[in-house]
Formats: sequence, C-alpha cells, structure tokens
Amino acid sequence: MSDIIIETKGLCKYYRESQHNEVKALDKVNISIKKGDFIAIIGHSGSGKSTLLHMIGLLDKPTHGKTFFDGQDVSELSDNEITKIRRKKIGFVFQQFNLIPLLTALENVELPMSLDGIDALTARKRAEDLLKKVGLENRLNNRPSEMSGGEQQRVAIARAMANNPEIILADEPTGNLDTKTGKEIINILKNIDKKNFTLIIITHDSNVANIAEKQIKLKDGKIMDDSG
Amino acid sequence: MFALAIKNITRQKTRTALTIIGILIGIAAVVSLGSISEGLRVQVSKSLEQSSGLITVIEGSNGNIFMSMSSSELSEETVNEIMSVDGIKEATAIIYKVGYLEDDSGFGQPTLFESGVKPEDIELFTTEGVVLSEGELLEEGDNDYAMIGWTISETLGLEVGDTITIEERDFMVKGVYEEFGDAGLDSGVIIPLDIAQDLFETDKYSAVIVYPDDIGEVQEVANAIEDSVEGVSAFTTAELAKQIGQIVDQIGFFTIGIAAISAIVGGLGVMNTMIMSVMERKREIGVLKAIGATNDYIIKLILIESALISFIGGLLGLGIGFFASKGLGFVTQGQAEGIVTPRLAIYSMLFALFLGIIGGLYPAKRASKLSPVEALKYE
Repeated sequence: MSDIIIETKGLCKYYRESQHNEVKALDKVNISIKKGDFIAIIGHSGSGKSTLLHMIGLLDKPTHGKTFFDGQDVSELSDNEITKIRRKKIGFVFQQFNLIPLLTALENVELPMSLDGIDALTARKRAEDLLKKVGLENRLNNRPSEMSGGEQQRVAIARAMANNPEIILADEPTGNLDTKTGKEIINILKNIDKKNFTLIIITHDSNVANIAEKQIKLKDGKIMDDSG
Repeated sequence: MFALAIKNITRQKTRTALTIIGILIGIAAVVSLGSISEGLRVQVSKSLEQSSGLITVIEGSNGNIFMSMSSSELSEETVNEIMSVDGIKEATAIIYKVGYLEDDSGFGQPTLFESGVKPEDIELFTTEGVVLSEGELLEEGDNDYAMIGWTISETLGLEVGDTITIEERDFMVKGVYEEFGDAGLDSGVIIPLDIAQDLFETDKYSAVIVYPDDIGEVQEVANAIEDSVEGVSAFTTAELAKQIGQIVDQIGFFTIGIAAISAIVGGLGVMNTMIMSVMERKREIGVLKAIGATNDYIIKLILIESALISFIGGLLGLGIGFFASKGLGFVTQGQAEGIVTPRLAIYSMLFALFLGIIGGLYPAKRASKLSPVEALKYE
C-alpha cells in the first residue's frame, strides 16, 4: 500500500469575478503528501493557500485536476462518500475555532462521534480523555463563550481528534491568538501521539512554518517552492 | 440530534414563542370550530337514530326540509289527502315555529322551538326514547298547558306548575322532558295544536308526521305521498339524516376551512422562522458539514426543529381549543355544544405537524445545499 495520503494532479480552481475576469485561485498544483508528514503551507494573503486546504480537506471541488485521498480519486465519489471520508479521516482546526456556541466543550467534542454513530457513552468517555489531553479537564461543561481563544482552539483540536483521523488540517490555527498561546497550540498539534499521523498547517507566520518538517510555498495560486 | 434541535429552537426564545403562538392560534381555531361541527353531528345522529320509521311531509318541493319547515303551509284539505294515502299507520299534523326566548342572562336570545301538536298525538311527535323528568303529558282539553324541554326548564328555571309566556299568552308547565340531546326537543315548547293555530293566526299546518304500517317500506310510503298529493315533499328519516349530514359537513368544511387558513399562516411563520434561523446559523451548518454531517443529517435537524415548534404549538392549540369549545357551550347555554372527538384531536395534531414539516422543508433543503466552504466564510 502506498504511503502517500494526499496527492493532487493539475489542480485548478478558478473563480469568475465578472464576465471577462477569471481569478485563478489555484493553477495546476501538484503536491504529494506522505503519511506522517508535518507540512506547512505558506504564502501571502490571496496566494491560494486556503483554497488548497479546502481541496485537500475535500470541502470544495476543483475546476480542473484531481485529488487523490489514500489512492482514491475523489472526483469519482458521491457527496455522502466524501462526507464520510471527512468525518472519519480528516480533522479540521480553523482560525475562528468554529465551535458550536450552544454546546459545551464536551458536547462539541462528542459531535463528530455522534455523527459517526458512536454510542453516547463511548463518545463521552473519549471526549473527556481528549479534553484532558489538551489540558481542559476543568472546562468540560463550559460553553465556547465562557472560554478564552486558546481554550476554544484546544477544544477544536480535541474535536478534530475525536474520530481518530489520519490527517489534521489546520487553517491559521494561531491567527487569532497571542504569541504565547499560539505556541502552546502548535505544541499540542505537534505532539499528537499517533503513528503515521499527518499534520498540515496553513500559516503566514514564519515561526510556525519553521517548526514544520516541510514547507509548501504558494504564490498567485502556484507552488513556488516545495522544500520537501 | 434531538438534543441539538431542542437547543437550537431555544436559542431565540422570543421568536420561537411567537412562531408557536402562530400555530397555536390556528390549531385552537381548527379545534374549537371543528368541535362545533362534531358536536352538531353527534347531536343530530342521536336524535335521528331512534326515529327510523318516520316520514315528515311539508309543503313545496324545493328539496331542503330545514329551509321550508317553518314557512311550510299545508291546508286542511292537503293534510286530509296525505292522511288518506295507503300504508299509513298513524299520522298527525303539527305547527312549527322558531321563536326567541326572552332572557336576562346577557348572552343573547336562545332559540325556542314552538310546536303545536294535538295532545292525543303527542307521543307521535316526540321521538321514541323521550322521557318525562317531571309532570305529565298534555291531554285533550289542556288548552292552557305546555310541555317544555330540559334546556328551557334550566334556562328559565321553570318547573311544573310555573307559567311560560308564548306570543303574549300564558301557559302552565304540565311536563318537563329529560335532556335528550336534540335541540328541537330540549329547547322546545309544545302546546295544543288548535291553540297554536289561534296564536299564530293561521288555519294551516307546518307539517304532517307519518308512521308507515311497515317500517321497511318507509321510502315507498314517502314516494306514494309525493305521487298522490300535489305540492308536497315527504322526507324520510334517512333522507333527513343525509341532508343534515350534508349541512353539518358544509358547516364543518366552511368553519374548519377558515380556521385552517389561519393555521396555514402559522405554518408560513414556521417557514419564515426557519429560514431566518438557517441564515443566522450558516457558519455553524458549514462547520457541521465540514466535520462530517451529511446533507440528510442537516435536513433532518432542521425538520425536527420545525416539527418541534409546530408540535408544541399544536398541543397548546389543542388545549386552548378544547377549553374554547367548552366555553362556547357555556356562553350559548348548551345550544351549541362543542365536542373534541379523538378524531378531531388527532387530525389537528397531524395538521400542525404537517404544517411544521412543510414549513421546514424549504429552509432544510436550502441549508443542506450550502457549500461548506461558502458557509464557513460567512460572518
């Protein structure tokens, strides 16, 4: 079995701004990410890094080109099959945390498991364990509005880990946090203890990017430099 | 999913409460108005089931007995002709007027059904199963006496020996009937036929009540009367039941229809609320989809929310409609009694749920079609 988890071939994403003007958010991007890689995707605002993350995370469909997840051509899959891959194999961490405001930390972490049909008791137990791992054992029943940004992001990491994914995609995870808290979050992400676990972080913070094993630099929708 | 749906509808409490009230009003109207037509139906079938062998003959041939009965005028000659038709066991002519009862209750004037009947034929006039609660039946020569129904006795507080005034003439109450469930009898006053003719200044009759020799041939006798006597219509109980049934259905259809419109407006309120709610939660829906919620999950979540809102509204509406129908009985002093049958309750709840689900369908579909990327960008 191939050790490549994600591969893109000639990936293009165009947005039509007006009738005559088409923006190439991604232009013929070829990348290949191995299982266990820790990669930073860097680039300026508007370079296409978020678009690339959406493609890799199977949240969006390309205009041209193909994405392969674990060797499977994603374009051949139905919406439900793609959703299932997202649910079971990909964990997302967003800049805005994106927790469900009405749910407690515990319930937010349980949610992906409940979506996956895992029984409530098992989900509760695992959510408690994950929140302990990110140092939030005292905040289990707090809602996002009662937590600091760093705490919310830790809940988001625990949620991303809920279904034991193969890959975590973090979109500017430190973007809304102060430097110290940002470092803590990166440390938590880096120290996720799982064999062959892949971590992809989008960032424009060079300090964060330098911690990664490899960097993919994007400019105007094209790959400039693949240090891997 | 259910827990999340409950949390979602309690998020905007005021808006949810207003939406619930929208459904509540509609369903309460459906239940209370529907209970009246159910009440009528029960009342009518109760008073008809014990008089299966009866034929009522009135003047004219325009089809509807209820429109024609109080304006019907049969001459002595016609009455004699009717009575001489073959196959008749017993027959009696009556006078029938709809009047109003003076009362000081402040709730308007309850209807009074004034009937003139030959005292010796009084048991032909009242259907089988009618029982006197006190006093005695009218007899020949009881010119200054009247029989009264249960509702009249209750409303006016009349007992045997008391006086009731009809068209400015006093009658002494000779007998009071027990509650029977038929407005014609319960709210009726029966006086001797010839006195009634004097009182209403007429020598005509409203109707002839006919019992056939053979109950199995009731329709044949009715046909024979219509064939041999010119200008009369003969209605059998079965036809009566059918006509009343149609009228009750029409009343029910009309009143419930009006109420249903207000409930549909409530349903639109649910749709509006759910559209707003989906718009406000666009980002959350995007997150749900990103972390693995299928389109079906999103549709179910929104539908559960809208169904919950309408179910609560329906339940409260059912309760309020129930009390409104009881209140109606009280206000009209039993003239119009609302009955909330299990059928009406179940249909109203199903209607509420249906409105909620239909109202939720479009917002749910819209939410499920949101692209997660677009939804996540939404601030």
